[in-house]
Amino acid sequence: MPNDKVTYNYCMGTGCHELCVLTTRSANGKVVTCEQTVDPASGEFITGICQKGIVYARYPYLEHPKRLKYPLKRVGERGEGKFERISWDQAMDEIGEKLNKIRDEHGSEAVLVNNFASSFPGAFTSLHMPLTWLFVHAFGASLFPWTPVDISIAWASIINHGSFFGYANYNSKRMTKSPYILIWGASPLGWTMASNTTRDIMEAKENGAKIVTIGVVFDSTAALSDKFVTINPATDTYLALSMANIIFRDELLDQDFLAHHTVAPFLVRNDNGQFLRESDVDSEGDPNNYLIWNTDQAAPQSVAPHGQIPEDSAPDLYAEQVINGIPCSTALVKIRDEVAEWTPEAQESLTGVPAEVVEEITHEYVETENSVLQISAGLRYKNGGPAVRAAMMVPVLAGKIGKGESLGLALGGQMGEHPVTFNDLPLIFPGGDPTKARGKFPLTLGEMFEAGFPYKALLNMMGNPVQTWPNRQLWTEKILPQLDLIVAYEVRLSDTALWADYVLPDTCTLERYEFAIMGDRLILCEPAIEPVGDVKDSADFYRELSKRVGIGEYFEKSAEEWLQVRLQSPDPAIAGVQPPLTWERLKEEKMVKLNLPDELVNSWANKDFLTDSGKIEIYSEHLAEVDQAVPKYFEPYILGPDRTKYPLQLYVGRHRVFMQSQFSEFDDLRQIAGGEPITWLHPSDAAQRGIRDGDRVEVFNDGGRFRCKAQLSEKMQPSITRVSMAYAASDWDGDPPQALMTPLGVPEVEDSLNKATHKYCRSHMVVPETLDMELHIVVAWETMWDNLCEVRKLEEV
Amino acid sequence: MTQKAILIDLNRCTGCWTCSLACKVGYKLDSDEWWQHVRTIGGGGIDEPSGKYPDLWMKWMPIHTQDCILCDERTEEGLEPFCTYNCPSKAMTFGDLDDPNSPVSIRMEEVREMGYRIFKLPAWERTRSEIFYAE
Repeated sequence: MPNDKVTYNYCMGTGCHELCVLTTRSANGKVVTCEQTVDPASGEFITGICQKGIVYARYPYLEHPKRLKYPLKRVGERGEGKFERISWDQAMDEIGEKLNKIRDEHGSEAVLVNNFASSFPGAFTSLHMPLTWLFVHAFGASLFPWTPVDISIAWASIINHGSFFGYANYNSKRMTKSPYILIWGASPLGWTMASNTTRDIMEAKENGAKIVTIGVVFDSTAALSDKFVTINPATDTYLALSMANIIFRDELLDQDFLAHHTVAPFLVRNDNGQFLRESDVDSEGDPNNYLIWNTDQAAPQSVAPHGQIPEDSAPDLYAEQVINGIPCSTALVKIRDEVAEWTPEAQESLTGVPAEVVEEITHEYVETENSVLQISAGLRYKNGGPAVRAAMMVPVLAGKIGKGESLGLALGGQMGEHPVTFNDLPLIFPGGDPTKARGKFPLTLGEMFEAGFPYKALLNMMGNPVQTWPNRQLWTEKILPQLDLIVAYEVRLSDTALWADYVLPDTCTLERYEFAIMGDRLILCEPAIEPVGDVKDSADFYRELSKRVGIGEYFEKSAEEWLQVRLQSPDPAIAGVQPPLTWERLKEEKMVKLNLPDELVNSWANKDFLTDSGKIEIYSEHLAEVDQAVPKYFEPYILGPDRTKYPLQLYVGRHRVFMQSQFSEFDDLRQIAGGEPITWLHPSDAAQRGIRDGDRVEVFNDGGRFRCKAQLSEKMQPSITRVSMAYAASDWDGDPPQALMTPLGVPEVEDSLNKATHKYCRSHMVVPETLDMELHIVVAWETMWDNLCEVRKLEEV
Repeated sequence: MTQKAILIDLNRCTGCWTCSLACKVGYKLDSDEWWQHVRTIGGGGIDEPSGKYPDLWMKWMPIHTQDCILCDERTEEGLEPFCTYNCPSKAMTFGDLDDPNSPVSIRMEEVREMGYRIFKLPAWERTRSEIFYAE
């Protein structure tokens, strides 16, 4: 092909966390194809591709009507979508002037920045992420709290392990040799993890693995599983507690693991649920030290935070003692007593899972060597956090965590499986100096509203909150109208961009430089084509903006220059590469093997966990005052009293050919998805309402209403109404489904467990370290699927 | 003689349509033009299972219509067809059946040993005769 050029580029959709780097072929300045990536030197497979990555070549957001090519300024009402084209200079001059005025009159913290990375290509590895931090810290802006989705798994992991990001990096290659894969709250196969994860699980299946899926929708993952365990929506906590019950009953506990790597032997005060401290029994004692009961000495023994219990020590896992007048029992006793009620028979009428199925999957998972439990963010109900935490008790009690090739527990997805650290301090902090960090971090929407919402501007640098965060009115009626300035930096005219005063066009990943880490390779992503129109990459965008607001000195570099800074890392993975990993070498080779051990990373290898105790906190004293020290079921919205008014669950989910709201503009994918918004109803629910396949229906609740085609399907449980979240507001006749969703994180929906979580987050946050942002994810409860509605027939086909 | 063939392992197909779209993008087909598509074996529509919840069943079958050109130019350069190369679950294998060392011959032998049934669609389906299915 003439002028043939091959580059590596991130896929534009990244909410799957597969983070695929595609091999892009372009000719004569146009993209021809995006395909899977193999190392040209060794032929080794690097990353796969799915239907979205493939189509990205065809509509690289270049010629699509929704692709932004020029800066826009609003001329109509907000949300109306009327804009005029302006120059970058005019846009930046006007925005800079407004930001300066807001800073002078209200303080720099009145400027909000949203950088929620979900679905941003490259996410944490992208260049845009650290540069956005730099802007926040240099300007002294406030970061919008990350309260959108994926809360359940992050919350459970932070409570149990002290971190989510630290343990959510799982290389799916580990599953290929697992003989038993239990999938819960996830639909990886051909659905949410459609690339490398699917490939590896299908490899395991061919190798003879048994795959069991627990869920409510019969989708591709369920269809490809050996067993589909259907569970009543939002009742997963009961099932998990029952699995724990069986582990106690049948003595399947791994006592050694529990004694040394969890808080199981820690003594807990019966009066207040807190761990007994050395200072409770000895006025000279250290108030930080925990106590266990040493069987040999028949006496309490101290354990310092992050301290080891000596191998030859014999902690009594089941101690019940009165010490210094304080009645205590071990955390394991508390757990045993809590789950005692939840026999397989007791949970059956609540979950709908037959007792014998609970017995079967518990024994199979616990007793099969190298089995793995994959839990992802798919328990999107108010009670999803405790449900995931309860499910995570199963591998902990059975001592499976980090064991064998499969590691026993796979959390989340491949969020960059190797913890390689770039030299990012100069990109995150002004002058590379963390003491110069001026960013503000309001923790919750609740506290922002309680403070009278003292914000005047929003720079939406990542994400599409008006469309994809529940609920729409929270943004269009409560947040956006309070702002004097809304700026969106985007590749397309998203629903959020429609509400902006200025819309500034970003490069798509085919037009910019990035670093990607795939397995043990560092990949240089380079522009496949010249940027279309007048779009600017992140480095150029911030350079222009920063000089108008007096912080230009920190943003003088181009994207290529910033990448060269990132490469100056002392991390042995980068610094130890031979011959040295220079910018010149990377420009020449594009893909370089990092200095990493051959074996796959084990994120559970370090058993000194990031919790206060250093152990897995299957019992959390932080949650004792709200009776969630041991995870418990509590009522989600869908199982509350409102069910009489709105009897159907509104399940607003992904469609597998779209990536959240991305790709939903593309005709080829729309054809596969049915061409238009569809409401899927179970035939029994449809029959009760006189609805036939293809009828036009109205779906409604107090939040809003929309009209679309009904499709009858056996793939969901009765009483679930399912719609895709992908379509933009303009695709819907009426309100988009997000309007019908319960808002997240606002004071009206906060409960005592949220408040306890906020307290935990505040006491554990070490601003300005950016990893602490994970604490901002867990301050609300999921509501994506936790909504009720009614459906009525409008007209027959 | 060479006998080009694609073997599709139906136990590995996840019904994602990456194959069909790789073909469509590779050959710049119109939006409504499909040289290759994916049939859901189940309840009729795309991704619709057969049976009653929760006792359901669904598989998928990539269909190469007679418009498919088996990526002749591409395969002559030693590359795999678009559909085969990009399949995320590695459900497809391409090669020369007359060459016992070609990937498709090796895979054919592997799936035979695993006890898979190997079959073709009948001629009246008017699909490419070089496509073999294994399940």
